[in-house]
Amino acid sequence: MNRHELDTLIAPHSLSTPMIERALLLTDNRPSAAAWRLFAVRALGLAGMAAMGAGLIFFVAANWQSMSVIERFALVQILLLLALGVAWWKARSNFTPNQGIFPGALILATLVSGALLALFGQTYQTGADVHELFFIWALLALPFALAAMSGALWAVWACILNIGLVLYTGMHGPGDFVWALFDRWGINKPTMLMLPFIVNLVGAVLAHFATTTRYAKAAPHWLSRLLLSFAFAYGIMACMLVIQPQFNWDRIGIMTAQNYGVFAVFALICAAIAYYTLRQKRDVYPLALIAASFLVLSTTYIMVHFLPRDIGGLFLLAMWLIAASTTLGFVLMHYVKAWRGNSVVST
Amino acid sequence: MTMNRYELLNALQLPLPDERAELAAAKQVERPWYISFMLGASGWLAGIFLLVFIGVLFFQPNAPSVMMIACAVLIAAAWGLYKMDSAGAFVSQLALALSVAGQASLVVAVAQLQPGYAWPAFSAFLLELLLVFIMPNALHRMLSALFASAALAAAVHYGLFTSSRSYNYDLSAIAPQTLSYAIAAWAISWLPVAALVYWLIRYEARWMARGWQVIARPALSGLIVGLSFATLISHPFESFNWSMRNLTDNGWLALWPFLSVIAAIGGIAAGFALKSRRLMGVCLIGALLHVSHFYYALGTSLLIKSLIMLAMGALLLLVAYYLHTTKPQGTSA
Repeated sequence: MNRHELDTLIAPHSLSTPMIERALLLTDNRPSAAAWRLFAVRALGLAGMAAMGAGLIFFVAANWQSMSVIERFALVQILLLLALGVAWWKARSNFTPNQGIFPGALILATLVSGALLALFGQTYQTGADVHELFFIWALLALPFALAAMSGALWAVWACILNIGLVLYTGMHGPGDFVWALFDRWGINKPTMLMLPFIVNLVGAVLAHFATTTRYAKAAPHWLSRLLLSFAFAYGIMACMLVIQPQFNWDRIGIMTAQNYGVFAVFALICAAIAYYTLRQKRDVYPLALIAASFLVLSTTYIMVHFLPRDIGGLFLLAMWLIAASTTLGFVLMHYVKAWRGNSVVST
Repeated sequence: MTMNRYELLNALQLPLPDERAELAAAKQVERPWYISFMLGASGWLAGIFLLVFIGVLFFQPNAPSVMMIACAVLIAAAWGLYKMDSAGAFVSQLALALSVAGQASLVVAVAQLQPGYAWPAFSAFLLELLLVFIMPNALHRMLSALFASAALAAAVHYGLFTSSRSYNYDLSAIAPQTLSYAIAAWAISWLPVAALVYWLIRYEARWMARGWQVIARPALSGLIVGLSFATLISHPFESFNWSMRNLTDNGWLALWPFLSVIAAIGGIAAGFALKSRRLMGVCLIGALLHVSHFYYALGTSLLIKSLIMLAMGALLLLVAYYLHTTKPQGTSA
């Protein structure tokens, strides 16, 4: 019983403070002293390792001139070895993968390997694009993510990969080598954005189905939600670029069929997700993402096609936003109420 | 051990609910955070569009008095709509949009009377504080509490470190950007919010017994989100300056994002106290954003920032190790 249900339950009874205190304890809404202690150990341990990792990245990025190249590399590599050593020690002594220190050490190793890569690029001027560095970082960190069996590390890994994907698909324009390659094949910007959409979607599907396997600890429910959110962010952006053609670089005429294709693929995948979610009757979140996509894209359409004509477009937009969000909220809440007994996810 | 509602009513020796009460309870389902987010974001955006439409169509936007009247009328209309049909989703969204338009009107009016960020931010703080108490809607109260904390931080930040009629940091400001002033200003902005969050959690049973949960519950959520996000919201032109253009040297104000990481960690602890994973998740995202903001904030060298982060990391690990290895008082060996 959560606090909202407790509020509703006790409202008609005019309970005294001690009785409510007791109700909070009986419904497990107050962490015990032992729970606080465990939380503090885990939170402080993870925050400490994250701060060390971030501090090291800052340190390398500061490009401290008084250090020689050897010293800089030695420093970063020693920290990487230390992090891996702690992980190895925890793995050998007491292998309970989802406990704080083991994945925490591997998260630190992941961050440090990125710092090492940045230092390498900075020192030797490899000429690599930034997105290449992030992809190599993701590749180097993959064994850590596989070993840790931790949703937190998979989330960090997904963020690294997505930064690479954003740089790869978002930063290139006419004149870049990669763009020239895609342009020769006639692939436009919205279609390019469907690549990270599909990558994240596949990740979300894998994470979702892993929850019922022996890898469940590595794939908590929030991980599939996170990856699905990433996927929808790219999908919405791709469709917005289709609606707003001036952002669509050149060769608009040739690209029209592709734009329809992007819309059709996105719509079909939304329909498939909606069908699966409605059959499963467990988590409303995917439906909420579809609803948000509809809201954003329809609002963009009205902005592009009605707003420039007259000031009345602003009123239309405001009314549309209110009406559409209300209706969608109403429908989503209907499913929240209907499925609340089946849900395995904390809303 | 946890109890369901019937076991709890038995344990507290309270009468079991009748069929009507059961039906009413079945309808009362907490709205998930992502639906609240969608509704809140849509309401805010609609409010801005509505404000521009009304401003252009009916008023001269350059007249502060007219904007203030618009503020009063729009907020009164929002309050009336909430009162009239608090359960109606459409009406609630319309009311939120009208209220946002009203709040923006006040900020614009004060900005016309007093150029600079500080006075508009302070007026927004007062208005949001008032709205926490008077607006009969949980989502609105939560948003008002969040923006009240952001407005307070903005008022202190710009009030102390920019001159009264300027949008930039300058030498004629009340306080120089020294370490002591930066920490003091941060404390003025955040200690009241942190203290209020602590008080609301510590004395939760007391205010629940007085029936304050209608106001206190959403306000508490808004304040906890504020602890982790309001620094970013309070000076958005610096926090989200991804292009790195027009960055100015903030002196020791560069420490604010670092201090805000600590506030966000406090928010995570508050979320844990309320056993709310969503609040913990939101505060974690806030903490990560502050770390990246700290990296980009000018004023202190990256070397000093890295040493601060390394020292903090070492300290946190030591405390964690100490807690892990020592037995709590009262436990036998």
